[in-house]
Amino acid sequence: MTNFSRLLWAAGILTAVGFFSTFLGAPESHSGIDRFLVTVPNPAGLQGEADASGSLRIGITTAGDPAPQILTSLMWTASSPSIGFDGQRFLFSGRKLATDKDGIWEMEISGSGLHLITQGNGAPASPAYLPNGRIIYSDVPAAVKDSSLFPRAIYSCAPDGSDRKRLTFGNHRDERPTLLADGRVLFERVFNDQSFAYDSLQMTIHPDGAGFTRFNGVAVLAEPVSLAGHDQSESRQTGSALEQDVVKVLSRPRPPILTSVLKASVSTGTLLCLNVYTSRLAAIRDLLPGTITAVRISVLAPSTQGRRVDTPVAHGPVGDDAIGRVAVTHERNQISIGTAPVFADGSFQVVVPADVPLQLTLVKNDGTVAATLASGIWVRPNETRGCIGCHENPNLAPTNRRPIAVTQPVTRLTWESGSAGPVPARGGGD
Amino acid sequence: MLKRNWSFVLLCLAVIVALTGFMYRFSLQHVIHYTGDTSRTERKCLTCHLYANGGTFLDRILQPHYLTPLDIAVSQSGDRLFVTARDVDQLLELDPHQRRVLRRIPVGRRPHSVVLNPQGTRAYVTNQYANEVAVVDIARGETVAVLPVGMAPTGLALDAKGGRLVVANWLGNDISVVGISPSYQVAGEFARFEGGMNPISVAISADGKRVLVTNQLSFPVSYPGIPVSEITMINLSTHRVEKRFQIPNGHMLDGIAFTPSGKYALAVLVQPKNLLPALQVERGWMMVNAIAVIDFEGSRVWQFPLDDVDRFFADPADIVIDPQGRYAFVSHGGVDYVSVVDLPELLALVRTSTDEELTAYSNDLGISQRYIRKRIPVGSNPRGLAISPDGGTVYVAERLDDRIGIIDVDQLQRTGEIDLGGPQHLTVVRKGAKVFHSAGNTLQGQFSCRSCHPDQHVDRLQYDFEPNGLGKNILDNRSLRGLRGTAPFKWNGKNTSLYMQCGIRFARILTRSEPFTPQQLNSLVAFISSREAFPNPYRPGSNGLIPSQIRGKEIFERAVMLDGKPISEQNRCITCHPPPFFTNLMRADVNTQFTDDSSAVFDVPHLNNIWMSAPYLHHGKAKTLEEIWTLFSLDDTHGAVSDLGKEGLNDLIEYLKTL
Repeated sequence: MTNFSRLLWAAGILTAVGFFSTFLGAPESHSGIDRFLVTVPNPAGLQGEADASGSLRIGITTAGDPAPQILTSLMWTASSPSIGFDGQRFLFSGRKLATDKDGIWEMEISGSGLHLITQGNGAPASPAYLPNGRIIYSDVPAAVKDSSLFPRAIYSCAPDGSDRKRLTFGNHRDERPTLLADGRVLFERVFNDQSFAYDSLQMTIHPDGAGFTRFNGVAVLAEPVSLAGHDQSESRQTGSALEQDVVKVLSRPRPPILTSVLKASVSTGTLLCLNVYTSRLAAIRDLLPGTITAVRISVLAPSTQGRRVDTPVAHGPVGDDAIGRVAVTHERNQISIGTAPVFADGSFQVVVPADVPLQLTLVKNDGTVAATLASGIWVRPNETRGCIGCHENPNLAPTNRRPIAVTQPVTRLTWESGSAGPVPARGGGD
Repeated sequence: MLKRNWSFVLLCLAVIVALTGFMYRFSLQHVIHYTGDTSRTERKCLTCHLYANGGTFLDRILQPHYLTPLDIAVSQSGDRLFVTARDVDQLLELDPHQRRVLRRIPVGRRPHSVVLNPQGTRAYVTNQYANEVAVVDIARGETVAVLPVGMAPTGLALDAKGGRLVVANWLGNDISVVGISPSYQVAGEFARFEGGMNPISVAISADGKRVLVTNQLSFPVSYPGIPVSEITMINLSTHRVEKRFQIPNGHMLDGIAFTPSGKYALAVLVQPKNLLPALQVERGWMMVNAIAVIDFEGSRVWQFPLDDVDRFFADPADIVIDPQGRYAFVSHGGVDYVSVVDLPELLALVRTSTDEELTAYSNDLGISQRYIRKRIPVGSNPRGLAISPDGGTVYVAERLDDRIGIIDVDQLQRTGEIDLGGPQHLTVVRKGAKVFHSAGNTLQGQFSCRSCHPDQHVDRLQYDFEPNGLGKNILDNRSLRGLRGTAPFKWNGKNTSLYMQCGIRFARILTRSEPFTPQQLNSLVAFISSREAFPNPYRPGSNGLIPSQIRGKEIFERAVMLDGKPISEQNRCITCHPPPFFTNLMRADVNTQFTDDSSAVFDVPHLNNIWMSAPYLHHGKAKTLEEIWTLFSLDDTHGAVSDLGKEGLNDLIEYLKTL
């Protein structure tokens, strides 16, 4: 056999190997079989191994396959998988050893490349990829010692775990963030007090933490999810939108990267409410226009005890539709930082400290309280946040009317953590 | 010898490297100088030097001619479709069963809409740029007559007997009624009614008595007045305007259709939110896309959102109702969908709700779940719709794909298409057209560039952009037509190029989603730059300026007042507004600062086609050209005009209208 013939043989073999590896040995998704990442109990735990009790593993499987191939066998526990946009890698939360802290981990779908991204403040969970490459997850605030209790918040970090940023604020339990197809982040807020009619609500923020608002639509998730073997990649109703224990393995379009208007150098944001009388709370809705003359802004001091804040609160009258209760007394940890005028059309505009949970109290012209809105909102640095009303129908679009508040001087209220009341405005809020 | 050769080679290499470096620096500086964009994103030479220069010799040679179907008519038998191909000035005859184009019939400049007579022997086509209706003999396949109508005709409808044609004159702000004689040679316009602002679509009731005309834009209102548009109802029996339905906070009205019973009519519209600071997009903060239900019995109009709470369906364009009255179909040019409205459900809501509830529904984004049956994805920028006489098929003009989409009404899905044979290659300008008309870069698909710039022109509204300070610096919308060579942009003149104007600031201030990619921005700039001004009916023909225009031109260029007193150079019209674009491309303080304005210095706007870009001044408070001087510049600081008197000012305005 000549060298040339050998060369031809070698080329033929290589071509054949390439052909078979490309077309026959390709991943199952290429052959039309859907694959899923599933979270399953650790068999060792089921068999009674003490230190594996309650631990979980992530496996890859096809629909109806009872025995997934475990990918996280090196982990003591792993859960909440979230697929990358390229369909090749995934994030999950877990611990390598039972004695470790929780962490956010990433690995390839092939089972290789396992690495730790961050251990956050000690209890990071429910990670997901953001369109800009960052990672979002929930964690306990830095000062909280007992992660099993309230509160929790939503955070984001760089792909390597650095540059961690807190995105949600308050003493509530914010958890299970997931990306919506429109680029926003959906999460669940579990309320830690009795002042609100709901135990929990689904809320949305932009990936920079701005635009905090109640979610009331139909969740079109960025990440395909399948429950009970049924592909439910979109248009899932809100009740189950946050279930993430089964995710489909496939590449998918990256949602848009929402632009951010935040400025780290600014310490305030602006609240603009179009009409406080636009409300489903009867205590507000039934008032005559002009009755409410001021809004008192209070900051809710951060909880550092890691416990439920069971401050007794009295409840005001509830509207016929009973969508929320009205707290008429103050919570123990709130600090009033001042008031802003509410104009005849129900509008107000106020510059407030950024990144602190706020409580708004509507004050009537006789000095009594009309309502205290207890859900707790915030603005991020340099954010201008628009509200249509106060606990209004969440389906409502705003009325096209110029609010009086934008034609009047703006009230500026500032507060520094640790102070007991308002401090002089430092400027730079806009 | 060898050493010398090596030296030569090295010298050449050094020269090449130096030249390359020089060219790189030159091109970089060149791009920065002309675009103002220092981000060093990819820029292609051809974008600016060829594609953005629409209408040039090279452009005419190299640019393929897209068809751009806009409107569709179906024959009574259902076996023929007629489609206006706007960019090639043709009417296309299609066989919907074989799904092919049969004939291309030349009509006139920029055909807009088409209707057929009951016998199917003639088609009537509005030629928007020619101010006429073309009468097409279908058997002969040619235009056999043209009927002069008002300025820039758009929508039209024919009564059931085929004897009267009603035409919406978009720029004339009026409505023509044209008699159609059997020989059509003696046909002509015999009535013209005043419309609202920019009449655009026409529907005639089955009994032929009622005509409804949607008017696209709001009447002029001073900010912060609520925009109000009109649906004009004409009685064809009495030849009178029977009612002018005022549509408060209704805007960008377009397609309209009667229900089969004739008790209601439906029209598409947009609810603008221009009086709110543009500080967010969610929950319809910028605009809501909606449908108006006209209840003839109650003589009321109710508005219902077409959007969902967190998903919007931008730029509703046309509407058709199936003969059985089951569904209304609405095309959404901005998101490439057709919405299917459950008509009985919607009308039941109208019948069973109180006035208070019906008023509240107009802002309730959750209510659409009651009557939106389905969203059907279709091709790019769907506009005109038509339904087959048996109600089984809806045809969709997929404008920027040069296709007609076919929707099966029983299945409620797009089941096929008719390729009209347009170029397959997408030029940069065509890609830019798609970017311009798409709401894909806006959070939740709420609006596109077109939503505020219909036909790349203006919506005549003023806006409060948040970064300027809430309630501050209210700004009038500006036309995107004829912009080439008129940089800088933005009312404060701070954007030196369209790249800056439409770049990342656009996402931060308006769309709140991902900015355009460099490729999208390239093509968008090319598209906007290639848009030429509309034909100007005031521009002099071969006979030159008429006497009043000549007198106005002398005033425009004068250096002395009527009493011989010299006018300082900076206070002459011609100084700041020199030809060819009638702007000196600079900024000036002409004492038009308003109380909410943070600066007195504004961009000197170009004056091309100023006749059709009312309202005027940066704040849009001057409703007419005359008001610029009679209400807002009383001290001769915006040109010296105080000596002119009424007649002189009229002459000046007559000249300005020719620019």
